[in-house]
Amino acid sequence: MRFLQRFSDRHNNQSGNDGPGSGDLLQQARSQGDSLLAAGDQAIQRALAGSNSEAFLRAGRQQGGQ
Amino acid sequence: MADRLFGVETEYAISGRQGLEAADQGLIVRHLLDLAHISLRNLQDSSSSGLFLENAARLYLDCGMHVEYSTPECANPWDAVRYVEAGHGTMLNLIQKVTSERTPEIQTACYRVNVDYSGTGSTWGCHESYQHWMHPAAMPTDLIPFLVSRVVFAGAGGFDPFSSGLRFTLSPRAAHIERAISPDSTGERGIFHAKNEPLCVGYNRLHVLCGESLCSHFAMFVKFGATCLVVAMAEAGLTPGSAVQLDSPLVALRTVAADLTLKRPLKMKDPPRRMTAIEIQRHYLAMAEAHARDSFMPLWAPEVCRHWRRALDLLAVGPGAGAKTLDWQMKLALFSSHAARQGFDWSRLSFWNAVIECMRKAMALPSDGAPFPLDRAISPQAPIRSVVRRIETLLRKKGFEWDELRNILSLRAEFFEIDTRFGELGPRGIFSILDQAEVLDHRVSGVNNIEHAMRNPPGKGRAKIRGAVVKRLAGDLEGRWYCCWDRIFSRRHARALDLSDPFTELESWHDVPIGGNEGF
Repeated sequence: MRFLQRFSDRHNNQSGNDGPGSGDLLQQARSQGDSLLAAGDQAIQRALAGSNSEAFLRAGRQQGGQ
Repeated sequence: MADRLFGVETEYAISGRQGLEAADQGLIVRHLLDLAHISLRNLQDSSSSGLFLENAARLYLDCGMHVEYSTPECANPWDAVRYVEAGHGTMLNLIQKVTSERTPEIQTACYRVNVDYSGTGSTWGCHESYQHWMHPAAMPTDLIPFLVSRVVFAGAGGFDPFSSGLRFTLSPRAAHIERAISPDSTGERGIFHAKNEPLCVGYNRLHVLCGESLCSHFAMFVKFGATCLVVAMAEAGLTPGSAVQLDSPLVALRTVAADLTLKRPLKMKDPPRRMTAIEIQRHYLAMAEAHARDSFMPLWAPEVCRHWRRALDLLAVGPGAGAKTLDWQMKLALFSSHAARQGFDWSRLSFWNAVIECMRKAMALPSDGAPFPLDRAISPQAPIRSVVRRIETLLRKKGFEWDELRNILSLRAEFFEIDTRFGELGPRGIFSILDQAEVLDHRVSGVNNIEHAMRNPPGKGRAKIRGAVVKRLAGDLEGRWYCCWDRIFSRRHARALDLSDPFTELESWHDVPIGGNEGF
């Protein structure tokens, strides 16, 4: 529990700082990423359409092997 | 300039579904290998039910139900990426044939994925082999800090398969690595294994187990190229790892895999201090750049250094900068975007994972990846009521509610499905769709002619000869030819082709006594 409290404090202190930091490069990367996210959202929606994720994972379950 | 040879083994996940029901995987795999025998020029593998193909690669059934494709021996990282892709192309053709020719009622698919999220605790490997002649005792010192820290660009991204929550990791395979060095490739898996299995004469083989199947050509290229350069420097006696010894390689591997900020320092020894994974990588890169044109380095060392530097520079900007280039950053961008659409804030995930971990430990539940039983844990009858009350106090202070965690847990399987489908081969795969849409920046100039590589061997060393001979003898069914990495032989013709020298450029045939074992 103390661990969780410490984690929570750290999380609060780092919020806004948790990721890459600021700067033009990052801003540029994010804006360039817009097309990726739009295409990614579409691809994910298409992949998940009509899918039952639990059944999907069961069908790919590794039978034997490592 | 020195030549080097290396190759990659990819284990594929295969699935089949009839409606919502899982189809018999064994049946699909048997059809797939049978169709490979029929439709691809090949010679029978002498040591398994698999086959060697006309591009000098090996396709076979590994332990259990893995279909595995080993590239031929490659002499540069462009070829390594090309032949990995040739393997994907071959597998895609075969799985499509299974559906169209054998089991039209079953919807089949093939994935380059690294862990099984269905609860089996299994993993699909993507091992690398590097030919070398360094002393085996030097390998851990020189290689382990590099292999642990390369996760920053070579991680596939995904989720920790043993977390009861939804914990993003740079390298899902890292959770399956149990030792620094293992005696072989399957039991108590190591960062690399120390089994002496060179498959040739005059060299040893470094067999790396901690690698992952990647989609980005750039990430693959840097992974193979940089590892080769580190092996070359170790072989030359530069002891590239001696100044960056990790206090605990396994702890460091898990730390790097879990650290999205790439800023968490790792505990070093000799002398004790702290370094980040990127700093360790820059140490190796600086040494490689300083020696890039030395005679023990391959001709392509400067080009690899250039790409390696670009990878580290991208990472230094932070997650997001490599979202079009590196696998784990692509996935991180897609997952966080999907989370937002599903109504939860991705940045709070680490907090909720910590909450789950706290309750899981209090309930003494195993860390086996089973979904966390939230409603049982927070019910008034739960034996951990006092822990829950303290957590609830914290939640109230932050303005959080259990429903948020309930929502995250309900979407867990969906995220696992997205991760798996990211690496699906063919036009349905998420990575393939993004690549087709030209929104990625992962290609490496010179990695091309994939179709050609599916039917032709690399232009150097014994792979070139193996491929040419397989092509020539594949139709000679009467001859009953067999192939393995270091020879091709026929008992019927009492002839054997020696391929024990990996750099050989000559077809060296010899007679073997009928009934004898020589050459067989």
